[in-house]
Amino acid sequence: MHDGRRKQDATGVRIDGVSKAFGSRAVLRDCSLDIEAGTFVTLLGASGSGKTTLLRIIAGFLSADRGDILFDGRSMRGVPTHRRRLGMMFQSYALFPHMSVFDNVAYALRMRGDTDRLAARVGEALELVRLEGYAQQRPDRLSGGQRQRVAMARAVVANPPLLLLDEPLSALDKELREQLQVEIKTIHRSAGTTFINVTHDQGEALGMSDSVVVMGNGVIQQAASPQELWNRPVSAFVARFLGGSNLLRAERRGAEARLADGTVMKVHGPAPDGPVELAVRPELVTIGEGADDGANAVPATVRETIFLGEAIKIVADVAGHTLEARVPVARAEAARPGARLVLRWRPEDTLALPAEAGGKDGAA
Amino acid sequence: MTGRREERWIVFALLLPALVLYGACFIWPTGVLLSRSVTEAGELSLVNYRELLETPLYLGVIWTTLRISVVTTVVCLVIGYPVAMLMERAGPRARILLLLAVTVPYWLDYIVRTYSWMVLLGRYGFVNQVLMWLGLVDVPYSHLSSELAVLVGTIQVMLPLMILALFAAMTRIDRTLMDAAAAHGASAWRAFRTVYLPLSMPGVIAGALLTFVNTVGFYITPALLGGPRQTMISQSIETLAAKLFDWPMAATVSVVLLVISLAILVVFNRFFGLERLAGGDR
Ligand SMILES: Nc1ncnc2c1ncn2[C@@H]1O[C@H](COP(=O)(O)OP(=O)(O)O)[C@@H](O)[C@H]1O
Ligand SMILES: [Mg+2]
Repeated sequence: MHDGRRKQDATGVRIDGVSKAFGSRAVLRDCSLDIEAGTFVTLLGASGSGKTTLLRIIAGFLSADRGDILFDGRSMRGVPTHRRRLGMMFQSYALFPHMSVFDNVAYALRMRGDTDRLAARVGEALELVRLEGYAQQRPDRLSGGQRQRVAMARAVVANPPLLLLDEPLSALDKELREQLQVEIKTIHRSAGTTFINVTHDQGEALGMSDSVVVMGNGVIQQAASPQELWNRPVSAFVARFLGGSNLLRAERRGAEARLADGTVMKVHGPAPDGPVELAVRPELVTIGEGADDGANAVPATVRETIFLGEAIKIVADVAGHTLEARVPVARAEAARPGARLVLRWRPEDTLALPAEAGGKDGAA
Repeated sequence: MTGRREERWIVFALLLPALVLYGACFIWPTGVLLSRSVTEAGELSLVNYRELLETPLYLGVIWTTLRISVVTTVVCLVIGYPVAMLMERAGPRARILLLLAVTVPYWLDYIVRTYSWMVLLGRYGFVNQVLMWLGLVDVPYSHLSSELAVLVGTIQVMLPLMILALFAAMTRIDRTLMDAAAAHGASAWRAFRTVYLPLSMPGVIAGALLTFVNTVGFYITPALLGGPRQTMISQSIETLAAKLFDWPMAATVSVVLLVISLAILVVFNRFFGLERLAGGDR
């Protein structure tokens, strides 16, 4: 199934100014996005942020109020779902309960009239998901993980150039989820087709995808590679949703920003002058007076320390904010609850981000 | 382990009223009925059954009953299926309106409904007036005392039940299954045929069963809307028992009615499994 696959077997998807409202509630507002053929893209957002709605518009279950979906440059307006050459996985598995595992998988071939070597191809798909012995079982005899594997076999058996995944792993427990994440990635790599995945799980999005699209308030907040997203969130909204970052309210003026208590630090980042939030990743914070190397240094009082194995998490009070640092165990001897010390981080790791209008909605 | 026997006694005690009622009101009369039909002058005899099989009148009644019941069931299914489907697909408000439209007639006593058909189908009834106004008939004649009139009555009485049985089964169909079918290449029609229709079968079976078994026992509707040639089994039982005082023959025809109903249940159970109707399907 691996080699010899031609590049044109993957669909490039363009989302062009799509808006959608249910009644008076705007769920998607002017969303535009280019998805390159063959990539694994994840739509990431809190529950209710419109991910499923966007995926359903791509699938053709819903039509956009405004805007268009293009596959390989061709408008999909008026093209019904069954002609869009898709595979799809659902959170609820959506296996046909009145059919055997075999017939569920064969369905995707039979409906397309693509029945050459039917049994052999269904067998191969079941082998791919390691369910060879289960062809004649009914889906309700299988565990959740097995059901989702059957759904995966059904989704890929016809080699669709575009696979849509609507939170297929969110009903499974953690261990299974991680196992299936690896399997889905492996299948993507060998199929070479386009995968559009939907999740509210940051770890899953960052771990599986070539590109992550953060959605919030009906808008695409940022679309970038996982590394880019992690290191260079474009807004406090994105940083907050990805989680882990310290966010400090400040007032920016040029290359400097002033915290509420008057502390001044050097900053980078895209936000214009005015109110900003400074994002500082915990693992980039160090302890100690150090030489005058131009780093931002602030006095802090340790509130709590938490042993994480390879590192220690220090929760400290800094200039009226709570700040987290993650420090290698050997470097954290001075950190005891109540201790006063200096926390440092580099100006280029101090991202000044546009403050969120209206506070924290959309955070996970 | 210890509570097991005790539990069984409690269950039995709780069931006792039902068992007594069931025995007194069903088992006992049915037994009497059966014994009446197979005795002649105090002796065991099948002479009643022989008479039934040798009398064209009785056979005709049975045939008419089966024919009307089958046609009623099929027509209710054909009309009811799309209505139930529309109801299941409708938004919450439209769904409630449709549900009311279907169930309100069902709450009305069916004798009332049957009488209103007499008015509508009679010589100077609404149907004739419309037909004459349209110029389709010149001389008014009564549509009553015909098989069509009986069928209109039985179908109208049974349709709500059929629709509700279908609707109940359809609401249990997971809507994402139709999405999954479409996503994997099925047109709307093929998705219906391969997924929706098979999954709605418990409703089809339940509805057909209810309609058929109920129609077989109809009495008022054929009596009011039909003529002598539309006599159904229940009417002949009434005639035999109340007018001719032929109790053994009345019992025999009753047993035939019971056997027909049971036979239908057995056949359905054999091919579909009645437990599926309770929703324990898949
Ligand atoms: N068919 C619908 N009718 C009305 N509101 C809907 C419908 N589908 C989704 N919504 C609303 O749109 C919003 C976005 O839903 P959805 O796209 O499912 O979000 P997500 O998948 O990101 O959790 C939610 O507030 C939801 O209630
Ligand atoms: Mg969703």
